[in-house]
Amino acid sequence: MTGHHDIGAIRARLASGDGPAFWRSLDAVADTPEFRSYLEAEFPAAARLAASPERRGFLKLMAASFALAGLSACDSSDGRHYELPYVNAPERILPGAPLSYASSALLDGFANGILVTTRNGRPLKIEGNPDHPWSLGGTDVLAQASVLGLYDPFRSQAVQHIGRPSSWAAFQGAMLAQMPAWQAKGGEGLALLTGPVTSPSLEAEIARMRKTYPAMRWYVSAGVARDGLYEGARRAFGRPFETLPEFAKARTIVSLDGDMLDLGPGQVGLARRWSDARKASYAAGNLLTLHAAAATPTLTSAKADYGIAVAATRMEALARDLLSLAEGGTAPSADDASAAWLERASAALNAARGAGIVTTGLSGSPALHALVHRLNGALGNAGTTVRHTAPAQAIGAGTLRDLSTAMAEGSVETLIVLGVNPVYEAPGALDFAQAMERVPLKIHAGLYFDETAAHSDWHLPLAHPLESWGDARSLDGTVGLIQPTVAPLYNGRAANELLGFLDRGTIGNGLDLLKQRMRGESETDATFQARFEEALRSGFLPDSAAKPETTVLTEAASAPAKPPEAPQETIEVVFRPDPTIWDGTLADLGWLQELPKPLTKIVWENVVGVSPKLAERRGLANGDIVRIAADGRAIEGPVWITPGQAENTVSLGLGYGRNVPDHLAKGLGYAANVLRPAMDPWLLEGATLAATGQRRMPATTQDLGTMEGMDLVRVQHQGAKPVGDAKAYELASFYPKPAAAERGAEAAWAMAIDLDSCIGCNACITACQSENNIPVVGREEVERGRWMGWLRVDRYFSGTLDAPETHFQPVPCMHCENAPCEVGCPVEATLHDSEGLNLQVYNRCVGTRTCQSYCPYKVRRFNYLDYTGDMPVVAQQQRNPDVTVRARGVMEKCTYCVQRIAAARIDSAKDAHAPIPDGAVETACQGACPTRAITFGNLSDPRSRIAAARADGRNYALLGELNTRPRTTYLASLAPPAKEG
Amino acid sequence: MAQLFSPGADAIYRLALLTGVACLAGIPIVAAGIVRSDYVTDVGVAPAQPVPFSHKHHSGELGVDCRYCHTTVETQATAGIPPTHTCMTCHSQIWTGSDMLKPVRDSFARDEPLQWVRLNKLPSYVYYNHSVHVTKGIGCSTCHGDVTSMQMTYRANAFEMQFCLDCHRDPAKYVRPQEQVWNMTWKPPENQATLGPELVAKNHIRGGERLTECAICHR
Amino acid sequence: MSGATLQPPSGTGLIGPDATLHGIGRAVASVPLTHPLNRRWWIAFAGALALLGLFGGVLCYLLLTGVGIWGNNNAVVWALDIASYDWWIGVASGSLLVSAVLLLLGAEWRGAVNRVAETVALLCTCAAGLYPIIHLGRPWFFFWNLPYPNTYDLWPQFRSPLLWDAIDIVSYLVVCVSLWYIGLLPDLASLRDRAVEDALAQEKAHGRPRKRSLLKAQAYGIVASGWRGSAAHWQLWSQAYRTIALLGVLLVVSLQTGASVMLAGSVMPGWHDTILPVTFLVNAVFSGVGVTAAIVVLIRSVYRLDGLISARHLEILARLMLCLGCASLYCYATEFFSTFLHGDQQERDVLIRRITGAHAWAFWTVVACLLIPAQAFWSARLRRSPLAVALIGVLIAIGAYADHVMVLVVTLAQDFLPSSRLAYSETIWGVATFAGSVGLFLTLLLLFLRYLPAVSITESRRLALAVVPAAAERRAVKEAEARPLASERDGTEDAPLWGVSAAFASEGDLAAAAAALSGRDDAHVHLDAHGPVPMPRVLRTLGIAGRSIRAYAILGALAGGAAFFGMCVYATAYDYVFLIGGRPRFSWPSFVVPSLSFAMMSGTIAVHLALLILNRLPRLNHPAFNIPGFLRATDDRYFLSAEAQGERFDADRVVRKLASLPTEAGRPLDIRRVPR
Repeated sequence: MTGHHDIGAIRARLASGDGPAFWRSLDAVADTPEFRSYLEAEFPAAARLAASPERRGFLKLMAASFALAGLSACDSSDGRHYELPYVNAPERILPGAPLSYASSALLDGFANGILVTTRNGRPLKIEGNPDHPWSLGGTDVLAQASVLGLYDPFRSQAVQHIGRPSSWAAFQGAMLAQMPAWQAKGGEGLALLTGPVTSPSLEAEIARMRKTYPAMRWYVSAGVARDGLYEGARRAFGRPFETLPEFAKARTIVSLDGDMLDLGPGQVGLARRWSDARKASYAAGNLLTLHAAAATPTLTSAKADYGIAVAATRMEALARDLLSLAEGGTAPSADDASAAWLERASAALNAARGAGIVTTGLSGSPALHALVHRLNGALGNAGTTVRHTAPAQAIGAGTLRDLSTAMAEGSVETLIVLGVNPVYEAPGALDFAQAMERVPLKIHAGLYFDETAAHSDWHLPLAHPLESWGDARSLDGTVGLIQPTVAPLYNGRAANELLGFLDRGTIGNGLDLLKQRMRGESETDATFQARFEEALRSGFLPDSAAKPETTVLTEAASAPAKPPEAPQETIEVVFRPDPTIWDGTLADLGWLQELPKPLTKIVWENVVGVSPKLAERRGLANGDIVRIAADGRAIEGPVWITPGQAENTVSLGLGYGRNVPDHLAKGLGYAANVLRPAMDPWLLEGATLAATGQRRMPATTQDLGTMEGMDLVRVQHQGAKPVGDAKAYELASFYPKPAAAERGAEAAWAMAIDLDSCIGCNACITACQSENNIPVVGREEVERGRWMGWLRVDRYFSGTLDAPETHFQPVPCMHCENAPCEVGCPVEATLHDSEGLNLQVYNRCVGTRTCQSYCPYKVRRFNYLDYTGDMPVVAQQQRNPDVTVRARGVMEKCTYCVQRIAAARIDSAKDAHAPIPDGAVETACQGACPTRAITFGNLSDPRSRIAAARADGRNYALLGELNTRPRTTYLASLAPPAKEG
Repeated sequence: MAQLFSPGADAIYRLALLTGVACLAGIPIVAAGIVRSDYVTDVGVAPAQPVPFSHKHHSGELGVDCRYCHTTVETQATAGIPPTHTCMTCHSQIWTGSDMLKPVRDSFARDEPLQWVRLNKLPSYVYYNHSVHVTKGIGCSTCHGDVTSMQMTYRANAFEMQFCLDCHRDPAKYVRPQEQVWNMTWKPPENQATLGPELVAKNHIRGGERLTECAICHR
Repeated sequence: MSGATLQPPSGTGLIGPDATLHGIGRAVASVPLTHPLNRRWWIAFAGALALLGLFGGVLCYLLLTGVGIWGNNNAVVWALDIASYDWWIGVASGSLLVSAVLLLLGAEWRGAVNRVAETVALLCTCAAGLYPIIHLGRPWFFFWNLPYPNTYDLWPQFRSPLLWDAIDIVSYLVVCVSLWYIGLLPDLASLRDRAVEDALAQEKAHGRPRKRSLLKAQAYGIVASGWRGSAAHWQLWSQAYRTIALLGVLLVVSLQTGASVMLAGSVMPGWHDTILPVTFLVNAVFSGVGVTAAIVVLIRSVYRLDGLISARHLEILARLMLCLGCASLYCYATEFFSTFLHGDQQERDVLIRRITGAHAWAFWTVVACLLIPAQAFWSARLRRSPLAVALIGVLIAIGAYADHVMVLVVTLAQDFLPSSRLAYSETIWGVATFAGSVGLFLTLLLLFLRYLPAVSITESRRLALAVVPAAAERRAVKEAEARPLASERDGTEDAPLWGVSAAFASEGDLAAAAAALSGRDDAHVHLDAHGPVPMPRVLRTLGIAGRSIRAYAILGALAGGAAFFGMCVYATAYDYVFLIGGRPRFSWPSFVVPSLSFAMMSGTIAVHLALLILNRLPRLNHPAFNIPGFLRATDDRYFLSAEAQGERFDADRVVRKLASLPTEAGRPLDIRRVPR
């Protein structure tokens, strides 16, 4: 080609300024002479197109061909043709060797401790930080997926001004011109909108900015706000508190629409403490029981020993009844349906005064929160099993409602939106976008060019948390540090750096800002440096958790006891954050979109949850499109009949219905925010539901919810005889015992999954996906039944439709010693090694699919189409180099993370075959599990945890009667003594 | 009327039949030969490099240790390609004006990597770890040949599966004393038949069936 | 055309009383040689080609995109692909088994059926053989299923039923081709000679033969490999035909076992059943008979071959279908009975899902098409109705397909874990792939019908001779009396002599003449006989009565089977030992099935080679072809040749001896000296 140097120039331009491989960045160079000459040389016809009105579509096409040809020319044929060594080898980075950084994963501003594994300078995998005092080594799906977010091709890659590519310099120039005016007016008309702020350094920056612009107003927006929780505490105690349960000391838990095990800032820490307490209490012979009332089923209510479906509007009455019973009174508003549950819960609470927990969740109303505080106070739980601490979130900002009003009044002249997307998130009642039209200057900074960006004058790319310096608090107040693991891919800036610029006129340096904030007044350089490095190493500031505070209940407004209400025919609508994509911020991540929602197993969209009774009454079936309307606003979505839903409750999921052109999330589901009322964001009363007559089945990964009479999930009642069995290993056979583990191998790998600890949170699935390069196949393929996850979490219901028991059962490959799959393979693509792994040799597989047809567990996954080849080049950077990327036509499955075993084995081999210590090999799913439900290790080591789990009376093999001798076994779920239930 | 076929037709027909059979048998044999030939495997072919670096000169004649440049060979999966900086430790002092070394100086000055043509390629689904091999007594030359005699470096062996299996099935044939690992001219001594098994035992090398399991190399 | 049509036999006869050797030859040969129904054939061929084109298109798309174009999913990993394979190979097995068993039982009426059956078997195998390759995720690596020296030092996994299948299908293709070709060999020679006769007739009419006619004759001549109808040829031919048929029967059993163990070898409910291999075999034969019957009726009506394919034939086929239908019914009943009597819960659930589940249509298609229709043949009227036989044959084929879909899909769509249940529906591409393979079958079938004899000429002639031997003899005598001996002198005396030949109208005459000639001058005369049908009566006279090629078959089969078994043992237990499914290192039972298949294949190859080599074939040019009127050796004449062996051969003495024979005891129709 003639213009080779032209490509170099284009590439340089793309790399330096706005990043490679995505069409939006091409926009930035499309008009440069280099690009023109390149086009004319290479694609003469295309050069004419480039000037035509269909320019955007053309650029999109060009992005693909660039990725194939020009831009990736240096790594032709999978990058193995040339070797490009460093010019100066960086310290610490050894080629191919993993390097971990402690950092924090953020969820609505709240931190969980993580370790970021990088390889050759690229962050590849998120692990939990076991030393972190709050998260204790667990992670959630959002943390696991955040590494994909870093390489997300949909991320914003350039500064944009009124929809046209611009630059940081242009933005800085424009702002510097504005600043004198702001300063002159003391910030009058200036409005700053952020997400929930827990970061001390960001808080300091905001404080400093407010000092510079005293009249500036600060607002906070969040799709899933904690306002109700703080307001409830304020009503009960006079000021806001964070409320944390102490499960270890508790004997019973009553949850009123609680969300302690559900995705959210608290999930990782709370679920771990809950499962630990439950295991300990079972061992002590007195199982920590959970009584849960919920309007719509959640992970918390799914794990309940005693569950009941209660309308959200009745929740306060229920709390009042409990309070009345706790105070020795009666339950005046109890109806027939709830009386038994109420009685049992109340009895348990009263029996465990000072050792009980009453809890509610983010979606509880302030009144409910206040009632729960009073209930805990009355039962003597406050201060013992219920701890109150200062809020981790910075208090004092205005709400979105306030901002909307201010904008509508015209009192906002400049709106700075930092990392949030209010145009999408704001309740429909606020009509935010319209109000925003009245603001003369709108600046948006975000990871994505989202709905708000489209309504703004300036859009600035924010740096991803994995690219920036920062800090954030966990729910318990522990300050976690955020450190960059890679230089910003798209020249984004961190939020605190941006604020520094608006304050001082120069874009700050995140590291300096962090150090400034952390440095104590009296510290010397040396002591500070040592402390800082230690904090970076550990990932958090030691002993920074908030101290428990004593609380005093304010005088309660006397609540009139109400008699039971007559059954109502009106529909209440509850809104819930999505258990995979949360509030929609991460809706562009394919891993999360394709993650089956724990209870419905639906992917790629949200549904309208209705109770079986309501569906029966209205003649609705799964997939019927219904229209839900209130106050002149309406949404349409497919019905999903949800066992365990309160009769007249309709549940809507947040996070969908995004309207961002060309993005992955575009066109998926409906936008529940449209219906959200301005006052109570979680509950809408008096809505109407009408079938539209249309139908569209949502894509799910599991059809059947029953066990069909089989004992797939076993339940161990406290005090009953063990339900586990060793029989599965003693069945008669013509063959001798399998030779695995008898060929002089060092280990016999096995896994045990504690079904009681499994809360169905899916962290394992996402961890597996990121560790093992598992492709996202898309909605159509899932509908055809070709979901690719190596690990699935089966969900079974038992009991009645209205009050079902829910069971979660993670099913990876069982690594059967008598593996049925292996016999069928004609080419030895699947076989055993002597350590007991059922191996899958991708490069040998010809794709007969016999192994999967022989597999009684159906855990194998086949690449029916080319799922990996057309992945964006950027997203391919996330791939784990230790795991083969599977081609089309190849079977794949769980390998017990054989690459991790191999790494440990090589280390041990280099060390004269020193035995691999127990716990040295952790599978990805095991590492991610917030409740440590998964045990993995060497069965031939009698002191290992896996050997202990195998010896547990709860241990059983799934379908053990088939004589497959699975290496993966289950520990039966726990339940209170049977006679009680 | 004459016969339908002339007498010569018989010979032609039979020859055609035999040729057909020979082709059926011969084509796979020829194909198998081509696949194994140097023409396909590139064994012994020294490609042009940006700098005509001579292992013979540096390592053979000057005696620079392998590990001076390939620093991670004892600790990591990859042996490591030296950064330009390594070249410049010497060549900022000697041969500073050599035209031959201009790409090295340019690379260092412009902070652009040298682009070496890769010699030893394994498919992306094969995971080879240098460190465990050298620490267990498998020498460089067993796979890479006598690099110290190569003016321009070439591929000494086609790394096909059978090449790897040959050693994994019976490491005693190739294992050497630890001090001989870096010796490029090592040849199995007379008593390799007795020495090999001793070294295998001493180095805790798992041989035979264990080392030929698929997951040893494929993941 | 009408002259070539034979009168259909009356009543329950298998062949008409007027069927002569010549008439049969002409009736069958006129179809490929003169192509009646030219336009209708082209229309049908265009349709078949369109389907084949669709197949090509689908295969291209499949190779470019992947098997994901079908509706298969995580649970139903096998669907129409394997169902189609099982169906095709089932029909192939059934057809081959019918032909082979009829041959082995010596059923005289087989001539009308066995050519069609063998052809159907071969073409179905072609269609079936593609599926194991195209259904692969990476079809370009299909050869990894076969043992060959590779740089990975790897063998295929001999314990896998899929590997057995790969070996089975290769063996089956070889046996099918061999059986089909051997059956066809004398008919090809017949066609060759009819084509030459046509060319000569044209020469007489137009002065010179048309080049196309000669080319056609040569083409048939090449594939006929120089078949002369020599008594020695016939002797080995009969043995080879029967031996390969026997090997084919054993292979069918082995193949269907392999195909059924592909399912039964798993632990899946609904597959893991001892009756399954039997059901597979019965349904395979059943569908094979069905398809064969339908095509036989089609050929009969289209080419008006009622004279050769009589109502009696159809009735026998109908009875066969009835019998197999009852066997099939028994298999299904047994499965239900034993499962509900002592099967486990999952087995019962699968059976219930077959009847009531999402794919119940497949079960009810089986009932409606496979089990019920054949019972109609209790009625004699329907047994003799060509339409009923064809229709029910097609229904049985459809039912057999539904059976494969049912067995595969119902089990896979939900086996043990309710969580793994997945709905399955086929895409248009899966159906198109099957339709395309039908196109391949039809295209090849139409080509066969156009260019090759659809009914075995040889077998029909044998039937004619067996049914009405007296008539044939009478005709021969009449002919002999009607014509005087031809002149000995025809101007070739000066040329070097190859030998003397004599023509006869019947094998009896020839045998008598041969007996008269033998015993003298043995060293100088090599006697041979040539005729349109096997001539067992002259073998003793010729001194080759004891020749047998059974030993080749046995040795070939034993050597091949042992070598394959040895290879399996060496590969899995010594050369590269893998841990497979917890099986012991030396798991010999797994190797029996593929070894058996391989043994059948190597036995077949040995027999085939023996047939050709012992008969000194192929030989396109031979002095015997110089015998005047020798073209009729494949028609209705028998020739005795006395070949000169050495200088002391006295042609005149032989001529005199022959000419002196009495009319009723072997007097030739004419005697000729044959130049070398």
